[in-house]
Amino acid sequence: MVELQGIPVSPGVAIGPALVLDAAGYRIPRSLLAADEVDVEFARLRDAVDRVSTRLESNRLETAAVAGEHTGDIFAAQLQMLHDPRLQAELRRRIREENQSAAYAVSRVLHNYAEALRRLDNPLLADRAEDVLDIEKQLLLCLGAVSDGPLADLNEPVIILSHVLTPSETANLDRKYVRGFCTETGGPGGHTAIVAKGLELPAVVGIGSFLDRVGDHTCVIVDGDRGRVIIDPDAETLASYKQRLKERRSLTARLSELRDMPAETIDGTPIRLSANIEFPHETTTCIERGADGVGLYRTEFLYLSSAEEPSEEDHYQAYSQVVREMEGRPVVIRTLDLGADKMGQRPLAEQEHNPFLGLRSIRLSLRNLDLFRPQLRAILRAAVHGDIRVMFPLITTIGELRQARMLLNVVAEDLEESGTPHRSNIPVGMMVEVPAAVMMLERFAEEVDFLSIGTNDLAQYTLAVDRSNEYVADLYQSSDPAVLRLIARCVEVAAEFDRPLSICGEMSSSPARALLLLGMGVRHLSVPPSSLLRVKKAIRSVSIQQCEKIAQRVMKLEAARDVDLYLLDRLGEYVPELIVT
Amino acid sequence: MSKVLRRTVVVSNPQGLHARPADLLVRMATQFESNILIGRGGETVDCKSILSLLTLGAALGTELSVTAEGDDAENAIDSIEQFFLRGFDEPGFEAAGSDEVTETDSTSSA
Repeated sequence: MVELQGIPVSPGVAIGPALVLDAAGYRIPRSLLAADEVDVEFARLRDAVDRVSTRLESNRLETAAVAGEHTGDIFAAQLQMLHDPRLQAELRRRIREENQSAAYAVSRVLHNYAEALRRLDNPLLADRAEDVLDIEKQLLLCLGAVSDGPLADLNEPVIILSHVLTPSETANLDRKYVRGFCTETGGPGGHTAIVAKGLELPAVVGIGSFLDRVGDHTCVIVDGDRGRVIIDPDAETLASYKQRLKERRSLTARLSELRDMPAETIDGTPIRLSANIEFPHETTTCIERGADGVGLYRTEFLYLSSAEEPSEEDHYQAYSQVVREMEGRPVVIRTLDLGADKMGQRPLAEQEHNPFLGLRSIRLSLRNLDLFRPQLRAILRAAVHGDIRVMFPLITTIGELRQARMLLNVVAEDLEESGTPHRSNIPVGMMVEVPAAVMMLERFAEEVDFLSIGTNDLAQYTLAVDRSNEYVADLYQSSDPAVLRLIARCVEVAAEFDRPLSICGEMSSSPARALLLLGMGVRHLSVPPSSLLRVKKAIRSVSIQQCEKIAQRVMKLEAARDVDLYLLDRLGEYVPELIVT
Repeated sequence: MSKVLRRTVVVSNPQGLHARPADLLVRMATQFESNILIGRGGETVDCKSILSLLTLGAALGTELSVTAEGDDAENAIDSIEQFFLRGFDEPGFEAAGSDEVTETDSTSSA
């Protein structure tokens, strides 16, 4: 039995046989050639190299034409890697002298290079490991050694163990068979984490190197509540986790009885409990679990799920579907909240060395009006179908807010002039996620209809921690006293200006932290659909007075860890059912 | 007659010897017949191999020694030295001596 600790990103327990993926999601078995096969095998490699080379060259030209020479150069560097004389010599040696299959040689050699790059203490170069693995994958595809969808052929329940899973890979996991996953890299706020939570797939990330210690089919337990992964558990551990799994299922059944009950505290204080969604189809779960609306509709997946930027029509279709299916409940649409680093097709995409402090989110939108306008037009057009509200992310200065509002007005006038059906009197709000905005909140509050605190980014920018960086991810805690003080200030200002304030970060999805937020005066929480019932259960089990006591005590504590331990204690006292042992 | 020349260069652009400059460096090196090795300490690699260059992990301020052996060694080593002095021709990099770069760096971290 081996116990590993990682970062819990999606709650729940999963037990099943391991499926170990290597770094790029596939595994090439070692296989040796007979002496008379060597020439043919080497010719196959030459052929694969030529084909990949042609493809990279056309990638380079196409990308350069769209995004400029500088971006196209990514593929120039990949071409250079592919034709690297050392690489080619090593491949030749392995095939010709060691009789290795081309696929195995490719996989080993490129892996070693990728590994060497990753080990460098330099994130920029470590990222190049992805290029090396990209070449590997393309060569293996040409050699017929892997298929495009390594996870496509599952036929039994598995736990995925991998170095990394990209958000799209995660989104495409076959839910019929995949019970949970754990990865060596990753952090709590990454898109993979968010997708996993959306899929309600127990997941632990950021474990560090461990894949070499596990074989396929080994029994693995993923404890997404505590960030623990247990490989080859002993009988006692296995039995206790099976018991937990059973308890969770019965808890889920009991919680589902709460769906039609209001989210109000024992003393009758009503709390708005909304849901955060990514995909239009998630509205079904929102309704099923009695959400009061969509408090945060993230629109990034429109951009990430296709190679082309979404058209106004794509936006309009998605938003209309969501607002119709929410049947009159409010839907808060957050405009594009991506970094330039994720917008591959845009110029400037790979020149940033510090993307979290760079051209991202509202800054990117305001600099690329051809990108921003279609989204705003679609929002106003979809607003005829229901209660749509718009929210701008990462607002740092009042100028940004005014510019965004002005553009919204311009877009509304355009729609008016062309006689396109739309509704322009929708509430406009902002995300509060930069400490600068918190400090200047009085000014902002005068110019918006509502405020929403994004605790993920607020914590990241307050604590100076990149939450996807495994080396410092443990410093990233939205319950840090510094973050709590900023939230307290937001609550005060919102009350002073009589502006609705919601909390839509990961923070409110933890029932224990939700109690604290209620005590701090927050009356609107927006949580992932998977957390709706648990948070509602917590709300219905306490009085505001009890919560206020909790908040008073917490504000005296010094460290995030103390805060969370104390909150967990209180949760155990007031809502013992939610404590999963 | 082939010559062996050795010179020390310093990485002077903020992002270090990353993929793009490494690509350019390889293209430059392959124009010469000479055998060119680059590295630090006991670790030297083939200057015509981009993967090897990258695995040097040479960051800002790293001193590297370049060795060129061959008929065109002198041209080769001059070109490479100039390329390092120009900060790998990175966009936005102001041509500056290495001293000046070090100075800027120390003030910004203060």
